[in-house]
Amino acid sequence: MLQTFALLGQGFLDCLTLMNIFCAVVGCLLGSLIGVLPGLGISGTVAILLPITYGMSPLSALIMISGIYFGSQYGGAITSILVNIPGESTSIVTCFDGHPLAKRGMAGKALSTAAISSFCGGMIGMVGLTFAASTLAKVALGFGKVEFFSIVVFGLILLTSISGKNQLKGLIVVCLGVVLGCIGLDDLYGTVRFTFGIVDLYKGISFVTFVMGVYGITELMGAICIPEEQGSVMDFRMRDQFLNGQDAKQIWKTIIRSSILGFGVGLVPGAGSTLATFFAYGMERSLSKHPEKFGTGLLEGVAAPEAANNAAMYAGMVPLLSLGLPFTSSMALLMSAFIIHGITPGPLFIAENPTLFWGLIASMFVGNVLLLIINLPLVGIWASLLKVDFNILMPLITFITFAGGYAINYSVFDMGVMVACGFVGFFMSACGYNMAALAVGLFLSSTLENSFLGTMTLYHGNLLAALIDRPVAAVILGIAVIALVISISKSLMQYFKKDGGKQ
Amino acid sequence: MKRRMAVIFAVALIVLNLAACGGDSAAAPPANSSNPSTNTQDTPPAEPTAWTPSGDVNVIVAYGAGGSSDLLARTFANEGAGCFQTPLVINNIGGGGCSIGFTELINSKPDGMTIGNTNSAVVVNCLTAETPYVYYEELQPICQVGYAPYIVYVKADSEIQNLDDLKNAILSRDVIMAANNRGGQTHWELEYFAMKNGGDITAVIYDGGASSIAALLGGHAEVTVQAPSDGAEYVRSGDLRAIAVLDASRLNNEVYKDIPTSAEQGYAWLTNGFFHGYAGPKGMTEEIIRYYEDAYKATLELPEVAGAIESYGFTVDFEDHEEFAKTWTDAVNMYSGAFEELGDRLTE
Amino acid sequence: MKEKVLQRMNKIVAALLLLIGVVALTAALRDLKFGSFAKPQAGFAPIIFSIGLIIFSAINLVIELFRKNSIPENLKHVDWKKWFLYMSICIAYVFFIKKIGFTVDTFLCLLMMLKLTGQRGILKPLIISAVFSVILWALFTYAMNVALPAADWF
Repeated sequence: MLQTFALLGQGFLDCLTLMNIFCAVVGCLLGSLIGVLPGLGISGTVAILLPITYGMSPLSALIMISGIYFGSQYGGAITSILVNIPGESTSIVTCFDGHPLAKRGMAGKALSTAAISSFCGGMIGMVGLTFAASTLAKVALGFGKVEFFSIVVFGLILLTSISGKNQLKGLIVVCLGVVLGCIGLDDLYGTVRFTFGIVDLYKGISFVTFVMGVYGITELMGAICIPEEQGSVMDFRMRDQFLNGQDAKQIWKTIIRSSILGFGVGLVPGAGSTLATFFAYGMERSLSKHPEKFGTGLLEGVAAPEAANNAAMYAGMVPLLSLGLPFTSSMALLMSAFIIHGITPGPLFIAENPTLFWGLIASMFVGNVLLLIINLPLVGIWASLLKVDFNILMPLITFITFAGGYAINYSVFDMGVMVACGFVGFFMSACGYNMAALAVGLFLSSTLENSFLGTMTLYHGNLLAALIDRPVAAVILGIAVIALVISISKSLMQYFKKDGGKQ
Repeated sequence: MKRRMAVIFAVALIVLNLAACGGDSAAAPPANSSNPSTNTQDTPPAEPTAWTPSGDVNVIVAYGAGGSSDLLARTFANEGAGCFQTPLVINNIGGGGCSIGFTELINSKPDGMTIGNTNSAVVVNCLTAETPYVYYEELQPICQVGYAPYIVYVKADSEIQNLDDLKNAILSRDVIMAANNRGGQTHWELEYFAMKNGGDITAVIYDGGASSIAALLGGHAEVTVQAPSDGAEYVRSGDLRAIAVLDASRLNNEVYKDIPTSAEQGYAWLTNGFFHGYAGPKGMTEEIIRYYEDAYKATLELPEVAGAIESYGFTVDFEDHEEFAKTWTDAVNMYSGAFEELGDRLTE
Repeated sequence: MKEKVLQRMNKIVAALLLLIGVVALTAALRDLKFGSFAKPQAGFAPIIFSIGLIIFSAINLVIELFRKNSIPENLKHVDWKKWFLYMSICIAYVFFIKKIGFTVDTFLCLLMMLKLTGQRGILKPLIISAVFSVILWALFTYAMNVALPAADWF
């Protein structure tokens, strides 16, 4: 333990040079900016920056690139809160309470909450990464197909129950999302599915395109065409924009709990960070004394997912740094950043490159602090963006969204898909179908299919044998099924009580 | 009246300006640019009919960032940059086991500004699955730069020490292998091995080398076939054991030099590797191909590049476009034969 | 939009969802192999989930059919003329973008949209559209290195 602190100390010394601090600042700023612009993923920007970092020392390059990752997590929250358009899959849940808060004139509070929760989540995640990396790596390895399957199912069922009042509609939408996710070239078999001959559909419907359509275009449609919404130009007071002592007391427990849960769930390879946000939100809602207030603009509803997703991001680094296994495309990019600088992450990485590892850890700490320092004062500025005349702002955002949608795949077809999704989303969400669940169903479709088919292959079609062999998965799936049954019976009881009235 | 005229004039000016900007932002250069570039670097001045690229060249790598194909392509782009007259920009288009990237390459303009990394998947994928195009017929080979054999890995604490042990295991119980995609290069070798020995193996598909290796480390699968660079770190750390190099001769590489080949173990018919080369959409001219052949050949003479190639587990093996085309045809014949024998085993 | 259609919107959407499920199932059964439970194929997941979609949306449709006709809350106050214009501008934008190039298209459509949202006069929207189109173009081309669609017509 003492040695760990000594190494960490050395790491701080290494990363606090002028050059490295500069790289951290640049990385964080760039990351926040990219996170804010809807549709622009970090992969593209990191890929562009990689050659530029070629001339820098490995530590500086890695500091800048990791800064971009942290920054983008926060940037995604900004758009979720201000305009209800999630920047990343990990920011979807932030919309649930973040945007209502903004509509009530408390955008600044929501943004501050997001910044502080991200900071704390990051800190706790970083501590986990530093002290328990190798142990946790073994945990990550323990996830087999069966565990994946049960966690994804659990996550989807949880999502349908936290994001809508109607369980049946939630189930419909999840199935629809999975079917939509099957469109295109299949990863496992290389077969083309559901494209009806349209070559542009080979890549399938990209998750980001879809989200920008159903959130972006739908929101904008609503804002422009519904007179009441226009009236809600925030009439806010600066006093309401910052957190006071009472708010802090309200959310600190949420932050700690969500960070820990987020870190744990984030260890699930692949979809971990997105799942972490729903699990944290769901947990907070069930632990809360006033669960019905979630979704109307509760600070806890912003703190939970934001703390969870930052902690989960660090958890995602565990397999990369301690085993050299990148499970998401962002981690794969980070890995190629390492490799380009002559370092191949693997099980021996930490042992053979202690200065680099500890310098990186220390830089994460510095990066977190920097993000907080940079973003908190900016909260006032972001919040006052909403003061701009809605009638000008909404059209501008429409076209930023279009440009972002194009930039994903350089495809005009994608823009058309966005418009179509916006059209469909407008009517579906008005009728009570939850678009978040649809988006996530789409996002998790390939993971769900992959783990489902993998389980079936491994156990030769015998799902029961699979669950008996992997008790952890069985427990998770069991809880999911029980949760589903409970919420279906709740809806049924409500339906019979209020005889065919409400949705 | 005056004000309105002014406004219309302003609008016309702005629109014209924007049209100019809009036109400029086009990245696609004209189809057959032959203006010699003014900033030649190390290469001697081009002959009058030689082709040079008019801007950044788009190199499509049909895998996500970080894999061996990607790293090699980046090595050429970075360390080998001096041999090319314009920068090579790596564009990762992964997914569908190379399908999406290859499709993109096929649909690009054959003006020499877009080329792609092609490895054996360009042949194998078409033979084992329904692909949108027959890649090896729709793409035009440019040159090959390297070759790497596949390697069979098991977990270090497994009782399987060599191919014979593997055979016995397959025949006596249900052995689970981790493959990166169905019918692909990391799948068929062991299915073939099992079949030839009269047994059967269960293949579970993971999405990518990292996940397959994780499956082995976590005990969810027993054996996997991967590229040398993907498994190197784990052999070095002692977590994985390499039991066979699927080639006729050993690898000249720090980590793998002591690993016996399949031939040495009595299974000379079990060889597979992948070539790493470049191709472009059909319709490229001789001059375009010659430019890239010369450039890549020159990079292979740089010690940094050759060294990097070998450290990734590849052997430097240059073939020009005719030889490369023959390699493709040979591969089609070899794989077709094996896959016909394998029949249903690959698709189930 | 006609009152009648709006009032039945819930039912229309429910029916459409069922239709999507049926179409998906048909396409999957026709083109893809299901395989077996022990050896699933490419059609396995699509078929199972489209069946799920059909079952759930069928139940949903039945429930909706028994409900009274009512306009969904969020659709009650929509200014349909504006909505139609908004959709048209978006569709036109996507349709023309390859023909007249990103900057011109954005400029024109933004201009139209600003008039849609009620901007008076012509000078202010003109300036906003022009400046914004150029800023967006510059941002994507130089800062993000993204090649925006270029014009075919000129």
